[in-house]
Amino acid sequence: MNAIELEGLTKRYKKGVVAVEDTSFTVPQGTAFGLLGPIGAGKSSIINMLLNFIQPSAGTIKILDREIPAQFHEVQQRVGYLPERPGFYGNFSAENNLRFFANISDVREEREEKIEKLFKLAGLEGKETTLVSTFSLGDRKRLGIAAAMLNEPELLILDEPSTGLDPQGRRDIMALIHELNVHDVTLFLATHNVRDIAEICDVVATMKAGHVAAPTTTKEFVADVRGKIVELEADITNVNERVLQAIRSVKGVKSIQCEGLKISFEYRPGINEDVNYVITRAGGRLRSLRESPSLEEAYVRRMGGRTR
Amino acid sequence: MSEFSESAYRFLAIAQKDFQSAVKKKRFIIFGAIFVLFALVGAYYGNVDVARSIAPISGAPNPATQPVNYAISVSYSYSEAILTILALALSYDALTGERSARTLVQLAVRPIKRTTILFGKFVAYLAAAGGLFVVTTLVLYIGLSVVTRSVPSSGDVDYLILSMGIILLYVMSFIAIGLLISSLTRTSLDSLLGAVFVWVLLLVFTYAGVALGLAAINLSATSDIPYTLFPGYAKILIWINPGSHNVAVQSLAADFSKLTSGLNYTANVILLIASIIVPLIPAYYFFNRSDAV
Repeated sequence: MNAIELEGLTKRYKKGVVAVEDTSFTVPQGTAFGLLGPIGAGKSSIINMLLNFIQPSAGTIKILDREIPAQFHEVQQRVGYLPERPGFYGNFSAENNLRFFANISDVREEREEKIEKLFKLAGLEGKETTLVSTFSLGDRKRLGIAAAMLNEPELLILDEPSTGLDPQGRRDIMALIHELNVHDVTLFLATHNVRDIAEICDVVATMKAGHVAAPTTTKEFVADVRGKIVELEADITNVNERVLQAIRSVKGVKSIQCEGLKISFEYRPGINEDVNYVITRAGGRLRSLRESPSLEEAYVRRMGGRTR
Repeated sequence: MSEFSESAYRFLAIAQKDFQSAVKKKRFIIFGAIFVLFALVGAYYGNVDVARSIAPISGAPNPATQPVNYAISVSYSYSEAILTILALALSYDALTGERSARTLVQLAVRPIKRTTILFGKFVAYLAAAGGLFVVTTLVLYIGLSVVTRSVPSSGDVDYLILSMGIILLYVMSFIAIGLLISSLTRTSLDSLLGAVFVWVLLLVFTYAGVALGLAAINLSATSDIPYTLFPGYAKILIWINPGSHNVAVQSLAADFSKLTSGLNYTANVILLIASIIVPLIPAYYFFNRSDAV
């Protein structure tokens, strides 16, 4: 069964602005689907139509085999949503917020146990009685995930989950989201951040100016975006012939430039880990390893310099 | 659990949450304190009138035979305007506040009907503003009974309860107006401006109605306004304001024959109830649109 099916979906706003044009794709259950596009591409309009916040101008939407908007109430309990900036009642504690959302979501049986589990899952243990107004955006997003998971949804819709987070916060949230997908929750992730897609999604569709391209696997997409040749800039404390020899032995190495230690590779997934491994094994100490262009840089170039 | 009890449970969850939020708001504390102060001052002056044995006033309790009810009627006249401001202050951004805090989205994705959200809020604000009014009035009533050493008759107590019911209807009408404003606007600032505008407009309508009515019958300002002689347009201007149907003082006096704003008691109560229902219908319609989130 498909978690989401869109057929000819179009959204035209007043004054003739077309946010989404003739869009069709499916999201099979259990997959982590990424919708990648710059801000203003129309991703939020698709999410708003999926959640029945706005009505499509044309086309059809099916979520878990139910027609939207006609049968939305039948799937409402099976869909979770994490907005870009999740809203909570600031003058209530985190657990009182979850209690309230549990009460209006008909989560009454084992409510307290469920809330306790979700605090654990979201990494918010110890913050149960803290007022939400004092929460950082990262903690709000964690609480947002906990709130979205109250009904144990089969489909979780995430809008820009990593936006506004510091690197550590981003890593934690992405790990948490990945964990959910491992537990069979279908993910629909809309983002402008190509790294989010590369880390979480199995399938990706790019979106630009209301048009969605045909979905591909993330592996294919990443390889396509990067191009064939990737340079790795390695910062090694003790470069010697043994280390260089080890690097040359890695499959795909094209050339090594010793000054600054730039290594050109024919790209293949996992190459960073291989380079890291052989350097360490040859006695080298790797301080950092940077891809050039990075996935973001390659994607920005592909999008003509604009991802936001 | 049946669909009805599910809905009732969600309704209570919304009402409880909004009641807790409402009583924590600064505006509730400020306007609530002003209301209590005005009610106290009114009760004090009412008691002074009773002590001075002033002559009975038409449509108001008799200070000689209903001293406590009379003092409460003066308290009403001092404090009821503040009570409407309190009701409006709680409800004007009921929905826009949720929208700007992004909690409306969290509500909209859950299996809760928007009607339930709207009426849950209505009951919460009624419990907050109405609760404060009921407690203040009962405390004043008991206090005045002790101070004046008069035991109100069971009839007087019944009329007090009836008058409190009328005031609660009056409060409900302003909560309904607040909810309508909130459903029509997009931001809290717009809602605030809308609330101030409507409150002032209702007052202007009343004064304009009286002025136009008096001008039409060639009368200068008088304490006993002959509403029944006014032309229809002047009456309508006056009747638009729910305050013109507030028959709480009449209820305290058990004077059901006196005309208020040119209408009999029953007609005023019906129009007071209509002033609750009329704003709630469009509020429901506007909030129920899918793009209201």
